[in-house]
Amino acid sequence: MKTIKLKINGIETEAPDRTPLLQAAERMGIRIPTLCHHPLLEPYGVCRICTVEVRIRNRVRMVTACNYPVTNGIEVFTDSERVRRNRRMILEWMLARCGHVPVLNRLAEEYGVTEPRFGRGDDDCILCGLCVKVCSEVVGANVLGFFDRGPNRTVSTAYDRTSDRCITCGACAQVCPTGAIRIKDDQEGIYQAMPMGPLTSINIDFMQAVPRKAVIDRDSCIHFKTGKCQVCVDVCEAKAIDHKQEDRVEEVEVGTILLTTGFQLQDPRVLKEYGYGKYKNIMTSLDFEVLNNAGGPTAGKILTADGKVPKSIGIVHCVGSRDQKYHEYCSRVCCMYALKFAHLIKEKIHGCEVYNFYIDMRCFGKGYEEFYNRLLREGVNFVRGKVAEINDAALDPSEEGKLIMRAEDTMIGVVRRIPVDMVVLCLAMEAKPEAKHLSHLFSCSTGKDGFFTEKHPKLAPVSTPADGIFIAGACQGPKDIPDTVAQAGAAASAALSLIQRGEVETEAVTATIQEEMCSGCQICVGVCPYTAITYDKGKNKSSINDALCKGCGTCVAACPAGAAYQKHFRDQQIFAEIDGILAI
Amino acid sequence: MLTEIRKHCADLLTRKQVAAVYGLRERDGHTAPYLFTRAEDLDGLTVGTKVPVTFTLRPAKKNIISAFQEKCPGQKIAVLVRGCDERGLYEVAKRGQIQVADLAIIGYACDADQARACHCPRPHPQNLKFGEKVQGPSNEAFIAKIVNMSVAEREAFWRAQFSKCIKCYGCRNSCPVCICKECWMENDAFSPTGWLPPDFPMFHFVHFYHLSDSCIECGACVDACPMDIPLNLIRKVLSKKVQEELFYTAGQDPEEKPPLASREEAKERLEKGI
Amino acid sequence: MSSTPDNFEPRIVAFLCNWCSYTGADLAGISRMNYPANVRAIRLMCSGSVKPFFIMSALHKGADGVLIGGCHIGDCHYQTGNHLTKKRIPITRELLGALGIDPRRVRLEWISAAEGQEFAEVIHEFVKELKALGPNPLAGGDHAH
Repeated sequence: MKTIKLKINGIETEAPDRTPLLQAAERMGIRIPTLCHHPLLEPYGVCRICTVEVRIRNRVRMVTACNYPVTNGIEVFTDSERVRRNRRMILEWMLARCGHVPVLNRLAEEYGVTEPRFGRGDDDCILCGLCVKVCSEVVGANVLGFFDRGPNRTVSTAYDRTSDRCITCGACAQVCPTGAIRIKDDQEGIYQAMPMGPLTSINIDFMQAVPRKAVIDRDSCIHFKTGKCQVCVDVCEAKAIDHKQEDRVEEVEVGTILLTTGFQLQDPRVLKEYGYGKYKNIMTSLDFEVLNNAGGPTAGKILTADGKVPKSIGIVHCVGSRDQKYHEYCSRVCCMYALKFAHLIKEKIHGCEVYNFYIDMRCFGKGYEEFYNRLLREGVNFVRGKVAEINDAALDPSEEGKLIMRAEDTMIGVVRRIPVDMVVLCLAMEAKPEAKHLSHLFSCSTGKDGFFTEKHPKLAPVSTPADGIFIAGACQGPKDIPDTVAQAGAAASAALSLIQRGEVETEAVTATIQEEMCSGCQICVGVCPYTAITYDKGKNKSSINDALCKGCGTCVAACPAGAAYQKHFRDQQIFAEIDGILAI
Repeated sequence: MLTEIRKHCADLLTRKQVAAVYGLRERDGHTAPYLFTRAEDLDGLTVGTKVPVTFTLRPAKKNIISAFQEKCPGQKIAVLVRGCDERGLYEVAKRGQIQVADLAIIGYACDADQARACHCPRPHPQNLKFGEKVQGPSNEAFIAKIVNMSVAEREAFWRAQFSKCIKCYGCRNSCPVCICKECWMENDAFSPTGWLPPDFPMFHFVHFYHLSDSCIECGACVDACPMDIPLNLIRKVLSKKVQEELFYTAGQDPEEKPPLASREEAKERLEKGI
Repeated sequence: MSSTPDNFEPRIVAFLCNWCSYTGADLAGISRMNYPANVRAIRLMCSGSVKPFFIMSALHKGADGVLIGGCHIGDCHYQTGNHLTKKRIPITRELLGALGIDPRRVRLEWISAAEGQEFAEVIHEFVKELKALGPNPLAGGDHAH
């Protein structure tokens, strides 16, 4: 594009031909006040506050800077007396309509308008139309529009009714220069419904995510609702955004596979006695973790659903773990993170009472017992007993609005009721339901608790019965981060050692068909799970492909003639074994 | 019935719909299987409900049908069958010994007397062309004898029966669906060949188990047994169990794979119709 | 049975698949679970490779009971090996029953690698049942002496 020369406030500068004057001035650091200008929208000069003085040769014109294209040789004055006089006039007119809007009053003060000659109106909307434009041009929802004319002109929705087409994106409120549009949070329980959801449509899952890339949340992205917007595409300098991307299945050939599919938290709603979902301020350990996170919805402040600082918090251990009704096993990590929670609460909220309800404190790791002792000194309350029930039935006014936790304190042999402001449930880690399906896919097995079973609990803790398939982390059983990291390292090196070798050994126990005994009945072909057996019509014989045979021996047992035999498991060997073990 | 069958077969041969008709020929008072290739020979054709089913099928490895199919692949031959012959053909075909698609099966029914004599539950083929269908005697009544015994009584009964065995291998050799080249009944490691009478129940266990999903209940083994051991008692008990547990009846559906020769579960087979 | 001697200890031959039941039995051992010493295990790669003749032979050679242990249906290391087991064993038991050999002497159990406890329980139960049944009348065969 051609570059032209111009002068702003007496300073010579260059700018691409026909760029808006406002932009050219901004690049020089000269501020021109505007109300109706937004970088995403076409400028259309409606508020007039950006009025400046332009001199072309000997002609002087008052123009709006936001939509005035610069040309060669022009001279601009952004703050001349004439400009200031004009802006004062414009401000007085605006104040006549919207006398109490802070942004206008600040400008009025700046330009010395103290007593507007036409009085002060009570409206909030300066009719700049940014909201209307953003709603139709960017969002594409076309909900807002101008209605009526002259002094009665307003911005509203059709027939002044709540529009079905509004997707509550909030773009109108965001662009409104005067704050006339506000998103009203009148939806009951929104805190419960989406407390931890993504804050924006484009987000990075979490700071440690690998790969650490931003993704678009299809459910909340405006483009996927209205087909418009795509503001992100314009803004992204790397041109990395592509809304047309779809999920796709890719086939990758690999030699080894690591299964690290993790766990899930037990559904807290199953434990009806703990009232999750029924009462506010009962949260899972994961909810609390998010709430407590500096990047979380409250910026790391521990607050109740009503935004108050809790004075007492109950933490329930072993929810669903060590429980004959749900999971017999111990989830291993809860004791320690419950202690961490207690410590953080004590650190963040001075004087907050923390109650830990536990069955046994299992502080088994390095430095763990010491941490427990430290918490005892910090004044955290430990109640040895399983919480029987959590409800909100207050017995006296002091319990009003609190959650009542009832538990037997087995140390003192008394049933206690403890009113608290917030409850954290330390839920069991459980196997994902899809683990069963995966175990079939990868021919490894799951135990009765649903976690993958290792080949040997002591000697092959990261291997599975299927060669080349390794497991690590919580998919094998509940474990904490140090254990997971250790196991993952072991699994990765086990996989690497296979890759390094570059070849795998075939089964030693494959089956073979003795050709001269085969009558070609093909029973073996039908029972082979690996299609390793082929029938030769010409010879009327079947034969086994050694590379495909996994050595199950099913065909051997099916062969009526005894033509098929399995290496190391021949009939004579089995009969000899039977003889041997029955000889004593 | 015989004249109609002869006429039908002559028709098939003269119209060249089949290359040959496989049936029985009577000459000099003897009946033997014969492959008719000319219509004029068909005067000798006979059907007999008393001839052994093995005429059609034994020896399994090189019976006349498989020998013909090997020499003249793709050529059609007509086969005259009873219910048991047809079931045997299907079971042997499922085990790769003959091509049932290349056969024109012409069936004729057995009469009620014959069915009773053979304890045949289905004395008529599915491809029934000649004769009247009759109901076969019920297996339930037949096997009631051992079903009603206690375990100990059964043991005593079979010990007595098997102690008569002279190991002539007649039960195996007469069996139309035995197809193996090497036989487990001669496996020294399991049931030594020199022992007589054989150890209870090892020798007989082999044949019973191996035929559990292929026994067509023709009764050839019982007919062949010189010591009159009622082998079909156990065969029918097993056939019933296979029907109930694995939903399979031997010789019924030529498309259905035998349950012990397929990897699917019994229920799965039922649902998928394998 | 009245003729059962008081000190009768049944002998069980267990055909266990390498991946589930044998490992399950191993787990019972590693976990120090108590179960009667009456069981003698023969490891096979899959319960689908157990020939009914092995069962018959074990009974003939003096086993009072035979246990066949495989992976649960759907969990077979060889995908469908145990489907065959599931079809063969009931037929075998029926045949034994018809021949006058108590089918309760043959037991098919699905025991996964994680079910050490179940393995021990099965052995407990089976030994109890076999003690009630008494010694196997086939034991030794007619030609053993």
